[in-house]
Amino acid sequence: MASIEGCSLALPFIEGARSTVDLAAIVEAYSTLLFRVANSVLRSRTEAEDVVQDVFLRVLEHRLSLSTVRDMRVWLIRIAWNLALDRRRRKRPEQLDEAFARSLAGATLPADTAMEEAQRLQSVLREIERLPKAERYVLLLSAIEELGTAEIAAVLRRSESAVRALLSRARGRLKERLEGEAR
Amino acid sequence: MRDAERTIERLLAGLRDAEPPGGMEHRILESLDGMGAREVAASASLWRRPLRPALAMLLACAVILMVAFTVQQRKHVPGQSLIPLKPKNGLNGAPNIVSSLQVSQKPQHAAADQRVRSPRRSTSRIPVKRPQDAPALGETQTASFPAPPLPLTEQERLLLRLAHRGDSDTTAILNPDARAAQTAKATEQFQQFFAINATEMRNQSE
Repeated sequence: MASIEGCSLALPFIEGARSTVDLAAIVEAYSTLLFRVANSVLRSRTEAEDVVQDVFLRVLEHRLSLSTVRDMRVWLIRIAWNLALDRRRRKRPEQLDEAFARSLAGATLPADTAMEEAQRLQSVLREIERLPKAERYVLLLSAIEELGTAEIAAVLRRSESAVRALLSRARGRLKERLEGEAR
Repeated sequence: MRDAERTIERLLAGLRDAEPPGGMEHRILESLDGMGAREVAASASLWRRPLRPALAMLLACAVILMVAFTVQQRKHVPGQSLIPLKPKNGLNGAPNIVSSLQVSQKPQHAAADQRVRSPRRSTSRIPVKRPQDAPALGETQTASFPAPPLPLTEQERLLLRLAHRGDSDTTAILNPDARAAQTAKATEQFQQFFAINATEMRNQSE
């Protein structure tokens, strides 16, 4: 049984405790990926951490039916994705985006140019939010390196070719709008 | 063109390289540990979540059945009826009084009660019947009814007559002689009761 920093949590998920699921191992394997998925939607580290915690609480709640889950990775990503979208609806996304853009620009650039870069990043985020829903989702999920086209398609319940088409359309539209804004 | 592309790439890279806060996994596991312990404790109890509705339904059904059975038994106690008391011979003018339960058929009630009770239950409750217990047992098995109303005293009857003089019962008597006789009798009884001499009364008033 795997453990993280002395923590280990084995949960019975089939009646009679004949088989157990090692939640610690699942947390270790997927928490970073789930954090990035949630962060791509929320653009806030604390909010994303809360979402990851909620995901594992769901796992705990559904431990009796975990044996019926075919693809644990996709299932967890989908939960994180939906929880993050739900959370974003309840928050003020503009504030989250502003803080994210400032921190991203300030991390690598000197203070005088960081402000200008932060504004550019913020305008990109604004345009991303204005994209059609399907295109936006594909673009955000494609930003996560660990996710391939097949997995994005599984999470969004679309075909791989549809995902590729949506991604290309999203990038094209975004560029077009940003250039139009610059002129 | 290049600038827009570069900004998009930079933003997506920022999302891609986001690192979770330090100790996130530990915090998550700690919270899950507490949650899991509570869940396991709850599921170990008899009142498991899937069983709870079933047990509640069972209890509700049992209560409903008990109430229905009790109501049914009370409805079918035989021989109990409300009947009006007939006026006695000396109380022609007295109003009818609705009596409580008629108690003249006590032995029948007792027998009916015996029939309603299942024999199996009664035998199981009284395993040994000794002769010295017979009166006590008889007392427990007799039906309980309210006591019959006490007969009116002479004074009460007269007061009743006085209060109801000239009411519908009296005026309904068609024979004027009978009515006059009844009035005279009532007056006589009144005077007798209060022992007032008519002449004395007249003198006093003068």
